[in-house]
Order: sequence, then C-alpha cells, then structure tokens
Amino acid sequence: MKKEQKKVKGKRKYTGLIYIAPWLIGFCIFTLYPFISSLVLSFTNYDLISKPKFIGIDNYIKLFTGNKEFTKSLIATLKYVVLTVPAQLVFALFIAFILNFKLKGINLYRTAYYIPSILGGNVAVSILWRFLFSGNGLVNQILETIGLKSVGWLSNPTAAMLCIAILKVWQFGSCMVIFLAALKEIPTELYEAAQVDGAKKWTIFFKITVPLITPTIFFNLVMQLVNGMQEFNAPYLITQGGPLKSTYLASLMIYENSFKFYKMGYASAMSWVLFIIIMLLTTILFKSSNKWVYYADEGE
Amino acid sequence: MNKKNTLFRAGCVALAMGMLLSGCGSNSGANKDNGDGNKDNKTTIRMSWWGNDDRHKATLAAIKKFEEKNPDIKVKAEYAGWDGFQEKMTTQIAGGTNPDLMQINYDWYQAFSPDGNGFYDLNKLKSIIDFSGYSKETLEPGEVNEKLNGISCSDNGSVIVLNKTTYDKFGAEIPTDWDGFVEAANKFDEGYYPLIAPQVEFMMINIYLSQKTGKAFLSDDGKIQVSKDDLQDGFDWYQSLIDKKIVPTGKEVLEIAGKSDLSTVKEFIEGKIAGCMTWPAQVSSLESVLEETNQELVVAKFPTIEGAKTSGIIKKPSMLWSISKDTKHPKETAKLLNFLINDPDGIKALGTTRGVPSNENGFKILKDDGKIDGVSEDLFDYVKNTDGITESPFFERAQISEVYQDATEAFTLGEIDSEKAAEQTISGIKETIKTINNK
Amino acid sequence: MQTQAIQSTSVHHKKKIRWSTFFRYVLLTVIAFLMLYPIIWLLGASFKSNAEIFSSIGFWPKHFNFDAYVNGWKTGTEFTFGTYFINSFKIVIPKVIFTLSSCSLTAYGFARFEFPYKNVLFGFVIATLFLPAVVTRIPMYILWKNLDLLDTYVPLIANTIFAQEPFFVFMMVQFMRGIPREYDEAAIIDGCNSFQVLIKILLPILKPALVNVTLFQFLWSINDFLTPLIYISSVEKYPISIALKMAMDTSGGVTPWNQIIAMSIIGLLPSIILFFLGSKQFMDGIQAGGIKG
Repeated sequence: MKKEQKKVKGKRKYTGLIYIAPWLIGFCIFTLYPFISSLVLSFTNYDLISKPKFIGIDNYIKLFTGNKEFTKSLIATLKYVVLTVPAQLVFALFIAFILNFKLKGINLYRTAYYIPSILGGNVAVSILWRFLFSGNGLVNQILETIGLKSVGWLSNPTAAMLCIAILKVWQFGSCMVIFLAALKEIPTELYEAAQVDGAKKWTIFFKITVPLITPTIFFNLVMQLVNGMQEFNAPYLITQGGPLKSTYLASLMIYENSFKFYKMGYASAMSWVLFIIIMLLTTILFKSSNKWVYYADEGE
Repeated sequence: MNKKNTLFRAGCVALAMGMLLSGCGSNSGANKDNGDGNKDNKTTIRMSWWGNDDRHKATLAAIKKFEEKNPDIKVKAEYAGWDGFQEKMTTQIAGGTNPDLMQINYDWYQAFSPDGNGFYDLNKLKSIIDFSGYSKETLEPGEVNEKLNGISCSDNGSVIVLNKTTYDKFGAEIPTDWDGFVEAANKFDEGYYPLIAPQVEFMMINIYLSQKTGKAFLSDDGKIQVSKDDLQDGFDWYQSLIDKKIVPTGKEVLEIAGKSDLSTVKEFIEGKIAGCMTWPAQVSSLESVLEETNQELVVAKFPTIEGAKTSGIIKKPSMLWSISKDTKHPKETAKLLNFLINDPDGIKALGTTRGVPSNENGFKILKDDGKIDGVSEDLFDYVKNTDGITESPFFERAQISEVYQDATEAFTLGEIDSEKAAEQTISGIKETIKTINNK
Repeated sequence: MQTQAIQSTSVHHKKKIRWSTFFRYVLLTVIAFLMLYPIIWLLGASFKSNAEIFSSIGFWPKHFNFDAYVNGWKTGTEFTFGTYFINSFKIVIPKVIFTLSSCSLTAYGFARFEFPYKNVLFGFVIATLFLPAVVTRIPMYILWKNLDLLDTYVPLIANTIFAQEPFFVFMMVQFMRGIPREYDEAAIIDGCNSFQVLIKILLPILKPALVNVTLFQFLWSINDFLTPLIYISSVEKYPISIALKMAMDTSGGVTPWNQIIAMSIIGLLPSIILFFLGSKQFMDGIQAGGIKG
C-alpha cells in the first residue's frame, strides 16, 4: 500500500505546476506588470499628462506627515471593517443554516435574501439609501413611530458610518450563498449518525457543522476583510466621504487622488501602503487558521 | 499518462484562447478607428460628449445634418452619461487615444493642458472656424498661454430660481434684494425656507465678496484676491443667512439634500425649500419636477448687498469644445466644430441641450427660432445680460474646491468658527496652488 | 430498525414540529420583507413620475406609468436596450466559461499537489486581491493599447482565460481542501490519472461551488461598469452597465429616474433567474457515499 502511494506522489511532483501554468503565465502578463508599474509610479509625481518624474519616497513621507488625512482615512476604513465583517459573517451563516432545511418554498426565500447583494453598486442603491436615511426618510419615520428620536444619518459622522455599514451588511447574500454551498457538502450520513446517537440540534451545529465548514468561514473572513478594506461604492454613492470626511474610506481617497486631482503617483503610494496593511492583516489570519481551521484533506 | 492528458488539456485552452484573440482581433480590425481610417474615400473623425438622452438625440441629429453637407466626412460618435466620463477621458488622454473633437468640462481642461499644449491650438484654424460671434471675454477662458485650447460652447452664470407657488402661499413677494429674503423668511412657516445653496455655499460667499470688493475670490493665475478679514466676514455673512432662517442649517442641508441633485429632494419637490442657487443647466430638471405638482419656478434677480460694486455672479463656460492635439484630421474636425457653433442647421439641431450658446450668432439664431420660451428664455436673457465676474479656471479644480468645501462644511456644522474657516481656506488654497504650479 | 426509531413520533412531537415550522416561516418571512422592501420600493418607483419617486414613501404608485419601460428600452441612443443586452451576454458568457475551466485547473494544482514554491505562489494569488484596481487601470490600458486591442472585448475577457480571478481560485481551493484525499487515492488506485480524478471525482462533488462561481462571475461581470467604459468607445458595443447610465447626466438636463430604475430592474433579471435556477443545486444533498475506504 505505502509503496504505491509513494509512487503516486512521486509522479505528481511537477504535475501541479502544469495545472497552474495558465495562471502563472497570466500572472506575469496581467498582474505582475501593472503591479510593478504602479509601484514604480508611486515613486514619481506622475500626473497623467506630463512624463513622470522620479521623486524618491516623497509621496510616502507626505502620506504620514502634514494633515494626516490618509491616516484618518485608514482609521475610518478599519472602523468600517470592524463594523461590517463580523456582522456579515454571523448573519450569513445563521441564515444559511436556517435556509438549509427542506421547507416548502425555501428557494424563494433564498432568492429573496440574495437579491440585495445583486444590487451591488447599482445607481438605484444610492437613490434607495438616501430615501431610507435622509432626515425625513423611512428609517427615521419608523424610529419616531416606536418612540425613538430620529438620527442625523447623513449629517452626523458616527451615524453616517453606521449608515454605510448597514448597506454592506444588508448585502450579505454572497457570503450566505457560499455558506449554503459549504453546508451542502457535508455528507448527510454524518447528521444521521449524530441523530442516532441522540445529539441535540445545537450540539450538531457546533460540533459537526461548524468545524466542517471552517475552511469556508476562513475564506469568507479573508475575502470580506479584503473587500471591506477596499470598499468604494458605499461612500462614493451615498456620502462622498462626508460628513467631515468621517466616511472617507481609503479606496475613495485613492480614487479621488487619481482621477480627480490627477496625483497618480501619490495615489499609487497610498495603494501600496493599503496593500501592505491588508497583507499584514491577512497573514495574521492565515497564521491563526492553523489553530482553528480543519481541512478534511489533511487527515485527522 | 498524467502529463499527456494535462498537456492536451492545456493545449486545448491555448487553442481556444488563440481563436478568441484572433476572432476579436479581426473584429476590432474591421471596427477599429483611430481617426485615420480611410474607408471609401471618406475621412472618419471621432467625436465625444457626455449628456442625457435629449442631448444624445440632438447631437446625433446635428451630426447627421453635418454629414449630409459634407459627404466626404464621416463622424463616429462616442458618447455616454456623465458618470465615469472624467475617468474615461483621463485614461484616453493618458494613453493618447482621445477622439478628435471633445466636449470638455471647464474644470478639467486646465489640468489636461497646464502649459497650453494639451490641445490643438484653435487659433491655427481661424480660416475654418468663424470666431466673429465671440468677444475677447468669451474667448479668454479657453486660452492658456495665449493658445486657444478650447472654445466656449455655452455660458454658465450663477442663478437663483424660486418656487413662486410657495412664495404666493405665504403672501411673500419675489425678493429682489437680501431684505426681500428676510421678509420672506419671516412670512414663511416653520420648516419652510426661502433658499438653499447645497454644495455651493462657498460660491455664494464668493459672490458676496465680489459684490463687496469688486473682485473675484481667485484670480486667473491662482492668487487669492481677498483678505482674511474679508473672507471671515463672508463666512459670518452666510451664518447670518442661517440665523435669519433664509437658508437651512448645515446639518439640515446634509440631512435633507445630502450631496445629491436638488430635483430628487423631497422637501424641494413639496415646496418646503422654496428656492435655490444653482447653474442654468440644472434648472430644467428643477422646473420639470415642480411642474408635475403644478408649482411654478421663476428666475430671480440675484440679490445684491448695499453698495455692491458688481452683481458678482460667477460666470464661466459650462463646457468647451477642444480638438485633440494629435488629431490626424484637423481641417475636417474644425469643419465639424464650426458647423456646431455657427451653422444655423447645426445650432437648431442642438437646440438648448447644451444650454445658452456662448456664440452671439448662435444665441440669436436660437432665439429667433422661437423654440425657447418660459423659464428657458428668462434664463437665456439672464445669463446674457447680467454682468458678472468670470471664474478663475483654478476655482473649481477638484483639489482647490476640496479645500473650501471642507472648510465650509466644518463651519456650517459648527465645528470651527468663521476665523478658523477663513484661515484654513486661505492657507489650504495657497498650498494647493503651489503644488499645482510646481510641476 | 434504527431509522424507524428516529421516525417514530408521538403526537406531542408532531405538534412541536408544526410549531417550530410555523415559527421558522414567520421568522423567514419577516426578515425576507426587510431584505426585500427596498427592492419592492424600487419596482414601484419604476412606474412613478420623477416627483412621486422622491416624495412618497409608499411603494404603490399613484398611476401605473409604463413609459419608463418603453422609453428605457428604446433608449435615447441609436440602438435599443436589446442590443446592449446582447453585448453584455457576449462578454459575460465567455467570461464565465473561461473562469470555470481555468480556476478549476489552477485550484486543483494548488489544493492537491506539492511543488516547489507552492506556498509563495499561492500567496501571490491572494496578494493580487490586495491592491485597489484604480491604480492598475492606466498601466493595463496602455498595455492593451500597445497590443492594439482597444474597443474590443478582449481586455475584458482575457484575464479569465488565465485564471486571474483570485477570488474564485481561493474559493475553489478552500472547497477542494474540504474533500478528503481518500476519494482521490481510491480513484488513482482504480487507474485514473490526475485529470480524470479532477473531472470524475472532485468536480461532481464541487458542483455547489461551481454554481457559485457561475453565479458570482455572471453577476459581477454584468454589473461591471468602469472597465467596459474605459476600453469600449463604440456605442454599439456597450454592455447594459454603461447603457443604464447613458440617460443620466447630473451636470444638466432632466434625468428620467423612473427609466433608469426600470432598466436597472430589467438588467437584474438574468442574475435573479440564474440564481433561482442555480439554487436548485443546493436543494439536493450531496451523494458523498459513493467511494469509500
């Protein structure tokens, strides 16, 4: 038995490389080249019109001195991530679990929960969100009906951050769909065996379901973190970074510096700082995954 | 065995990819046009603009007429909505693939052509383009370093429009000066405001300062022409408007109107916000949305302070026509440009979809044609006949507007006082101008 | 036998099930309403006039005005919305097909094989996600300009041929790693080569994940606005994401909001239908008990 396994492994040593060959080629052309370009540009004062002039690390220094706008933007972005990522994952997993049962019409419910995330950055969203959260909008009207005070969603810095966070959490559909797929991969025999052994529903959930889908939880966690750090649509469509730059997320700042102020070099430097921060956060997540993520292909 | 199969598979993918690329390549070959296509002895030139459906239809009709008169020229129209247009244009200019004739926003072209060489010098095409309908003043905004980079297509001038129905409801007269607004504010009920200036509070302050000092806030070469004390006075003056309930508080403005179009704001549609300061281009959407509920919009005289040295309204070209500096067909493109701004057929086809024509001849043709009436006619007359101050091309450049918009927002929200607001604005703008000029 | 023991229920138990089912439906419906109300409001808005859209909270229109749909379909351009729809499909369908094939292959390589620098390369896959697309836009544009492929769909599709979609590669890798290696090994012992293992064993188990890839790539590609805007200049080649915004000019003129909303809703329909169909995949449990030991 072992000898055969070794033989199999030996042949497969370079097969992997062949499978990833298309990716490798594409990476060099479509990813490496623009990445290096933007890295080089970050050391220049490129303004899209005249030829870029090398200015060393001036851009990077400017980012963290002076009016500290970028630092504030990074902090706002981190706040946004902390508000949206856990909430999204919890909702998505909870709803996916509920939707995993064979109830009649469950398909309709799944579609209903997924539709908000289809809207994405659609122009209709900006109309909608303002309609909901303006001074006399629907949300405030509901608050007043149940006896609470209306909130200045668009005029109060904290409330504005909440407003765009709610938009993101409302669109938890894609997270949910991925969890649904993962839940479906759990062999039903496991559930049946557990029920035979007399296990309760919540025990099944926490001791069987959750551990088996940790690879997916990990995936959603990383992806939502990365997406959240680069969130652009919500502040762009609804608050334009206001009020008082409280929702001026990093991606919005980078976008404005590239295509409105034409400070392409400066924007590139910002992007690379963001890159490093995201990389650090993700590395931490990856390292921690050894402790809590269970991969079925690694044996027990 | 393993490798053979995977190689086969990889080969399939490569083959498919090759076919796709060649297929698309041949497609693009047939449709590709960098302005130097010469099909059937026709010269093809490319033209770009942004707008809404009305403008698209009108411009396409104008192009058709042009092609009828010039059968040897074909025009490829590249148009889209406003959103994303600046990115697209910026990418094209950075990559050198921009069309021959372009509609350019006044705020952008200075960034695209800081030394005057960013666009084709239209002075070189004087034999084809008729400049007689333009005065020296109307040509000036398009000049950089004495090269004519763009020719003003239509004029803009800050205007105040009011909801007459609401004013009538409270028995207030349409104001002709600031005292009139105070009176109206007193007559209005709680929750009703005579005026709002969302996103343009600083413009209003600018106009106030121009009336006071006779000068624009920023000169054409980026120097601040008012003192810090004057600017502080300007912020205080705006605060007084809030205190007298002529305009809503900063907080209210954000909550009610946010940063979106006033024509989509509930309180405006219901008549609670009974007027605003805006640009002529915005007026048609405001007018139409009020019409739906039988409310009437009128153009008001821009109120002046006592002893005003000028009406102070900000005038600028709303958009300019520019020709690509790398165009391979300057003569044909110039013909098209001339058609659009001078030829009666072109002008009538375009109609009012680009606003008030800057060209005197064009303006007369449209007026005589009789298709302008009502509020549009009032607007036309207003813009043409009110003396104002031409806006510096620096004033609305994104980096600079960010400075004063941030200061104004902080001020109206009560975060900083007028002195700090003035300081912050002046020092911020000075620094930004320095960075812009240090290229 | 044992299954019978599970299935035997007392009357009391049956009542409990009925209540819990009822409760489940209530909860689901309430949340569904919260999720959907904004969309229902948008649907109603497409039948309203501009003033009504922005001033009334209720979603039921005063009069049902179908103009938005008629005018929106005709559009103010030289082509109808139908043209733009077909363009969108011309872009999206190749993208989906290429994504499915290239990402499956790449994920398989990373999930099941060992090779030098594997972890570093996988790190590169993920790191691709970390840089905001804004700053790579101009260099990529210049690259495509030099290849003379502007105003074609190639720049929009090419990266999916080469699996440059880290989201999908990562997702497939995670799903694959959730499948025990015993299945692979059993198949190999039975004489399959690596490719057959992928096609015959792994991909069938991964059907839900593949459905996800299809759904997401379809949805995101159809909604992608900025990339097509930058690369395509001929109006006849515009996809619906650009066409939707053609009537919108916030710098002047009247914007027919009902039209824009109406066409947005039409534009969403393919994605909703696709989701509905694909969601059936999630209905079937996984028949994992095929090959064992």
